Amino acid sequence: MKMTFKTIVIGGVIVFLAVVLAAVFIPSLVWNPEQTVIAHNYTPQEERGRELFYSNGCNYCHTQYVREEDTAMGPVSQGGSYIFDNPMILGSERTGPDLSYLGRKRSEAWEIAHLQNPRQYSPLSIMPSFEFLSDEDLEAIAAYLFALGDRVAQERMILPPLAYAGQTDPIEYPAATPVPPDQSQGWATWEAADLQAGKEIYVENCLTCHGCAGNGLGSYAGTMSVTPANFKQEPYRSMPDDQWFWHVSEGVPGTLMPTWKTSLTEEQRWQVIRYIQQVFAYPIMRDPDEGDPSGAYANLTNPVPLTVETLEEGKAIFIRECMVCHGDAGRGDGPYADGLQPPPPDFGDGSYGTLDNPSYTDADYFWRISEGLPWSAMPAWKSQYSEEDRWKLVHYIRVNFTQTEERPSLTTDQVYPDIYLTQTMPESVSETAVIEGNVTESATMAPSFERGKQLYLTTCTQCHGLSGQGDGWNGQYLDVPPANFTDLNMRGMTDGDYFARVSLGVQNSAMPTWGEFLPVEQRWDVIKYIQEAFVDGRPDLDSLCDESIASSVITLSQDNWLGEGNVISTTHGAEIYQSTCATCHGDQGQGDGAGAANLPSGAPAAFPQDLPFNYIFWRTLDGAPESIMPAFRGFLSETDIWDVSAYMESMLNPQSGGG
Amino acid sequence: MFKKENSASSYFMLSAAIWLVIGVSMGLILALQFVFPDLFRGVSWLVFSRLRQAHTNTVMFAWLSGGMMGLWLYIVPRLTGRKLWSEPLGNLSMILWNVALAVGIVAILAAQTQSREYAEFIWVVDVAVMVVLLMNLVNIYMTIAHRVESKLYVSLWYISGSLVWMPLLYFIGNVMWNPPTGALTGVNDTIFNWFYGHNVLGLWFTTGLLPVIYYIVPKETRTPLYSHVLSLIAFWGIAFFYTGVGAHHLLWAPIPYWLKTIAIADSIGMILPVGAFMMNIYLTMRGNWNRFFSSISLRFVITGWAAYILVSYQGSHQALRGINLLTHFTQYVPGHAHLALLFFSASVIMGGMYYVLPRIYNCRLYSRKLANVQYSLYVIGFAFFFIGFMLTGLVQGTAWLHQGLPVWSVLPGLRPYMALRAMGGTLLVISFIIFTYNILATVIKRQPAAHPTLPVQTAVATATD
Repeated sequence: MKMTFKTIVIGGVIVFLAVVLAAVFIPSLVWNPEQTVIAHNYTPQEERGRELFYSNGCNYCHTQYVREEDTAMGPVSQGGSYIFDNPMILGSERTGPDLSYLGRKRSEAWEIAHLQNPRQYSPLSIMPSFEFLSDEDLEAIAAYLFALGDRVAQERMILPPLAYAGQTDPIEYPAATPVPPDQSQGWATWEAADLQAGKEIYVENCLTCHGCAGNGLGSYAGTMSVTPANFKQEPYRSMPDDQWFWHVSEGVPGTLMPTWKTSLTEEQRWQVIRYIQQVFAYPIMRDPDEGDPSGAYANLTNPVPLTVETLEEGKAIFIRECMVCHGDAGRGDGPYADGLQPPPPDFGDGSYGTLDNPSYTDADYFWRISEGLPWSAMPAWKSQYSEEDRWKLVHYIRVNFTQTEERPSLTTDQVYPDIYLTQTMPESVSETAVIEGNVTESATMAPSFERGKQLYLTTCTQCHGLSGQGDGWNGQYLDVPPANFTDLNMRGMTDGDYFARVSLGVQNSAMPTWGEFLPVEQRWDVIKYIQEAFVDGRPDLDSLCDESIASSVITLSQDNWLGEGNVISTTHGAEIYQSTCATCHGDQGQGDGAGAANLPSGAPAAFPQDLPFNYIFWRTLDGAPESIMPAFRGFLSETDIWDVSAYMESMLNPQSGGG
Repeated sequence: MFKKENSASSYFMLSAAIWLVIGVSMGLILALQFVFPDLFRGVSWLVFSRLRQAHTNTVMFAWLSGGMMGLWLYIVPRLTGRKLWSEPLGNLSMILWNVALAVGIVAILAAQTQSREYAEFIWVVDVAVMVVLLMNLVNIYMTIAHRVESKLYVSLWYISGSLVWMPLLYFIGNVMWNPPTGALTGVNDTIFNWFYGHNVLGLWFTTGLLPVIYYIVPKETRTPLYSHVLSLIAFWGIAFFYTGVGAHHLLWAPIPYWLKTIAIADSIGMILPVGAFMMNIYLTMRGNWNRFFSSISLRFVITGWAAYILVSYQGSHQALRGINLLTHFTQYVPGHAHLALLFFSASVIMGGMYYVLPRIYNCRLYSRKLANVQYSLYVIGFAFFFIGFMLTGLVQGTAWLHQGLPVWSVLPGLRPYMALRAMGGTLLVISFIIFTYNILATVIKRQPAAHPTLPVQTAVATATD
């Protein structure tokens, strides 16, 4: 072949253009994918965020396309998802996570904070810090990221491998949910669906981590770096069968979830999955008519003698296992009861009969503790506690909560071990220890009034009341009334006396053995609070009125809440005020509540007439430091706090019309 | 100064050598940022994501392309038997090239970028680049058109081809008819992006540097090129197969399936021209391997030739769906790119400069010893560097694909390999600094010494006495 200049140039161009036509122009002309639901036009701010995203080169580490082989990233990307994008920023390296479906996974505020300081959130991240960008720029990027993809978490789930894909529960769903649903559904339907077998497997194998209430807060949960699954949340609430079966069978990589296929048969795995689905993940309101104890449980009576000692042993079990759902006073208002269907019973609602005429026999109680209830999360404790233990628990519940058994009389006063009684409040200075020549600060956690206050609010107020007079809403029905801390008799008690009572409970009463539950530091926190708030007083209380309102609430008004589609009810606010605030602040906010009368630190001041709404809201939400006013954030719901603040505003400024 | 013979060639090369140090220093910072992410925290223009674009553009355009065009401006006159058509035009293009790239790179560091891989420059810079490409086209085509030697040597085929392909490629790939973003709307933009992205290597660096190998190997071994037929196969094979491989970067992207298959077929087809080229040079080298050790420039050029063979076969197999599944998105891919640009292209250009610059200035190399040290550092450094990239990539790929691990959870385990890469990279940067120093010292000191005379010439000279 003779290579002339003409041959080279013209030939080269022809070959080049022919291939470009076939491999670039024709594909671009024929490939016009249709818009998908993921594609969306950008707002000006998002467009700006996108520009900042690519001009700062984020796409050189973060891809925006999900491939078929990718796991846990969401649906495989479609061409039509990009029809608004110019330039395309699919990315070519995946040093950081794919961002295709990032939208709604994190808040915009989180994105901004993470852009500024990535290692604050992910210590092992190697992402550079973008703190040099202006706030406006960061907000734009966050807005762009917040709108990316926008898909539910379930679509990002790892797909089960072929061996598990498409597997479904061998029992048809209707068999597990008999129709009509309004008929009571007792043991027959429950057992027909093998749910009792599932419950027993759950109690034996899963309970320690996933918890009796299925919220992933079992007693071992806190020891793990990866939290066990909370079945009441997504993605579990809508997880398909094959996912369940795969995870139960093979475990979950990166977590302590074991490979159950080695110890449970296929049938057993389906049974426990069915139990979790029916009771935790997607419970349906049912009327469980459990009937009367039958078979081995019929006509049993409590063989364990009713003594103070057996009561104490029953209490220890109750504290350890039952209190999280049934509540410390047995009112069914424990913190884990949320979302349980049916809810735990209220032992104090009067339906359990009286001492002389109980509605339930020993056998009734024992049977329910042993076998649980159909269609409920009540565990079948028979595999975990001996018959004797369960009978002790029956005594404890009947004596203290349903009050259908005679309380044994105390023969001798309770004697606490010396080691408890001789404890004193830890010093609030840190100790300096010398270890191998190195001076090390071993910080002893100094008890804190503020921490104690919040702990008191969440664990003690139900019985002892907000003002410490033993008049909490749950405590009022107990036949051994909770202690009144403002009683003058309390003043003689030493630190050790408190510590012993908090740790070991009070014999022959419902006072829990908090030593089973709270770490030593927290016990001291709460003791410090009780002493300083109710018993001895606190010398250094600040005057609250001088303090200026926190900047975060300074522009707050009721419109902020109403603007989000919520309503404010001053009637409901009044109820909250009466049950929660009036005990100290008085009916009309004059600071003359009954509870305040005996407070050593004095009654709260009367509210001034012009107290602004945002101040009331802020104090209710965050409390007043160095006083006994607790922060009700997390204790009352946000709706309750708006309602009660609005009520107080209307109470103090009647002419304003209540906002 | 700008009219002197070979001045444009020399200035292109010297400016490129300075850019080299800047470009690889950026690379070293990037490698360190993988291990110490907060190294330059708060310095906006040193943030990884901007610096990465600046790094690729500096080494690809300012260093490699600049050095390559300098070599052409020396080689073309030698092969046509006449001076360059216009030395001032050559110098003008050299100045415009350096100014345009300085503007483009600073703009990238100030977050002014189109963010399409290798097509990052903003439109203004694109235009300037196009002007330089066309000026060079005119200059070299006019030189060829007015040549004295009537036969066109294979190097001139490639240079002629590159000169006309690159402007077309640059214009289409950068979507220059849409100045604001330099991109199309929608997923088809990626087809354009990667058509361009891969062919900057395929129809610019490959076709621009193979002629340097074709020139220097016969020259330094004083052996004629082995085969005209093999040259023909390689040239037309590259023109045909390389043009269509771009979509192998998008094997998992939502683009037409048949296009991916074409790209894979073309990638495998590349084995043909690469094999032809490999054998042609190998058979030319037959019997001349002692020159590999005695000639520094030949050593670099042959190292580049070997790297070219490696990177081409690696590229072909990487385009197979099964293998791409594992390596795609991982650090294996930039490893491949560095094998192409840092070990093939850079090696050939360094060899070329070692050959050309002493001849232009009629002096000897400043220090052979430094050049030897530099070569050792270069090869050893690259070995660590490349292994670091490859291991990072393979660990990433297997962890994602076979273990189903999320991206973030794999990162901590990659640190040792990333550190290995940074260490190899440090050796490389030292090697390049020595190179630039050696080249600049050669030109500045101009030690007149043992003219690279041939034994034959001495014999002739003695005979005429």
